Amino acid sequence: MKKIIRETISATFSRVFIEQAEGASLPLLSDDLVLLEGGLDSMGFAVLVVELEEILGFDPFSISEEAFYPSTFGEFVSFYEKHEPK
Amino acid sequence: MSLNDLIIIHVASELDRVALIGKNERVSFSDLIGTCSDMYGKRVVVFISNTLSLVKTLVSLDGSAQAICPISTATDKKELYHLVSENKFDAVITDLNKEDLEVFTRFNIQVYNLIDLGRNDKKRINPSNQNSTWLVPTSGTTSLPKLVSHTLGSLGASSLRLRKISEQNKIWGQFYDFTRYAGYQVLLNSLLNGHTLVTSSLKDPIHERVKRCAEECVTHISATPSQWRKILMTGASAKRIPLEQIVLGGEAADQQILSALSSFYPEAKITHTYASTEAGLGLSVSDRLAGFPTRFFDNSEGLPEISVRSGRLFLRTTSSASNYVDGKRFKDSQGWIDTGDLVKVEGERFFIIGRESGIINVGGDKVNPESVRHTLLEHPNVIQANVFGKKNPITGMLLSAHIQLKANVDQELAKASVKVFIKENLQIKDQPRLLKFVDDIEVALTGKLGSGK
Repeated sequence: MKKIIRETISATFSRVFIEQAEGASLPLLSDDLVLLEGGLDSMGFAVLVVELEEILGFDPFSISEEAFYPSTFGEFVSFYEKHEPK
Repeated sequence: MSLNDLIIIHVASELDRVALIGKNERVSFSDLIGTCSDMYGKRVVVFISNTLSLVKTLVSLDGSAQAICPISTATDKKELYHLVSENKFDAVITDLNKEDLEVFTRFNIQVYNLIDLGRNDKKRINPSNQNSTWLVPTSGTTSLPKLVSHTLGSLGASSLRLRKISEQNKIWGQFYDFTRYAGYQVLLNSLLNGHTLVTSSLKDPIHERVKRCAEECVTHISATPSQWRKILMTGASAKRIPLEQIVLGGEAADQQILSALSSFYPEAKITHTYASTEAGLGLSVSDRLAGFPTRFFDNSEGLPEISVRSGRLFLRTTSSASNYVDGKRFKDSQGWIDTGDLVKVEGERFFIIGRESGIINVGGDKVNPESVRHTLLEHPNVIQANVFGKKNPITGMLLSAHIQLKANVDQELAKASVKVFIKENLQIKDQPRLLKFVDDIEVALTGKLGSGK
């Protein structure tokens, strides 16, 4: 399942990136990619979270009791993996 | 008393302290004071992109110009045209090129280039006797800005309260444009209390600005909740800023961001505020809980008076500006200001939940969904549209639109054309970032569009 979450996030990230960060080149989605340095602005991330909720069926930010703002792509993916409803 | 004279009195023996830190320049308090502009009695627009030059110019103008109207050089062309055409100005001081100043020359406003002016700066000899008016643009209930008439006293009320400057130097980081109400609070607080202010171009990427704050050991930052979310997303860089005071304003601070800041900066004082350009500083609380305590209604803590009428927040405060420049008053006969903000009371807290006008706050910018909807409907292939704010953990609010296209057109071509249309016809803050093309838009029994949420 973890693999599916990572793959879904990567695919959705790429699609949202093309729509939201016009003209910028898609960064390599490695775990240490700092999200806000990757070319997608915070509004773009907001769109990504909404799209992922539609595809994966959950939004870890509203499920999680801890207030958390992921800094890297790796943290973003783990946050989804950790809060996936069982 | 002028800003120049107030700095001399407040900062007194510490005039050698660094007042402003730019990317490649440091300016002390003594560098800021002592010059006087040649604009006596004039109504002057200040249209300067370099932050250090902007601040120096403001200090030299206050006390000589009749009215000072700093306008952000990032202002949208339509808004700029509106501000310049609706108000009477004599001069504009700028560091921009001719091609960016066409709107001023069109209205016969004399253009003064900052470089030429610098050569003619006069030494300030006599105490200033002109009480300059400060004109602050606001985005009111329409999408076009209005100017609110302030005095230095009303604009800097909270900064002027402190009499003695602290021995330990505080360092502020800039996250607001200085030509907006929240920006003036940071600027005047810093200048009048002898603090150092690290300026930055708001166009720089967030991680660079955060890195600079860490390098310059910034201790105080005031920003919107949306900006704070971005700051936290820079992770390790944000952690390196030795913050003592965090201020949140411009939009409602939710519990999530307050809790995140508390765990990220456990030692810092965290204050969230409610203010508007019209009312001046309104309310503030530092208990790390969303909303404000209902005990504020008792008016026992030296705060502005508060009243809630039909779910709307009314304020009465001494720091308020008196009227819009066009002469319209926003206070009633008893001095109450209708903020237009809706309030919900839950137990011992009350929360600001939105605008009565339906205007929503997206990252500190006011957006009128209804006017965005009307623009979308101007596209020849759009048959129906619904524009709304969707709550979001990253930005607080995300502007979203559901769009129904005409059935008899090439759907893919029409979608692409609508996207281009949005970029060409709406300001960045008004562009819906989440677009859904739908087959049908629900119309409720009342005839109104469904919320779409």
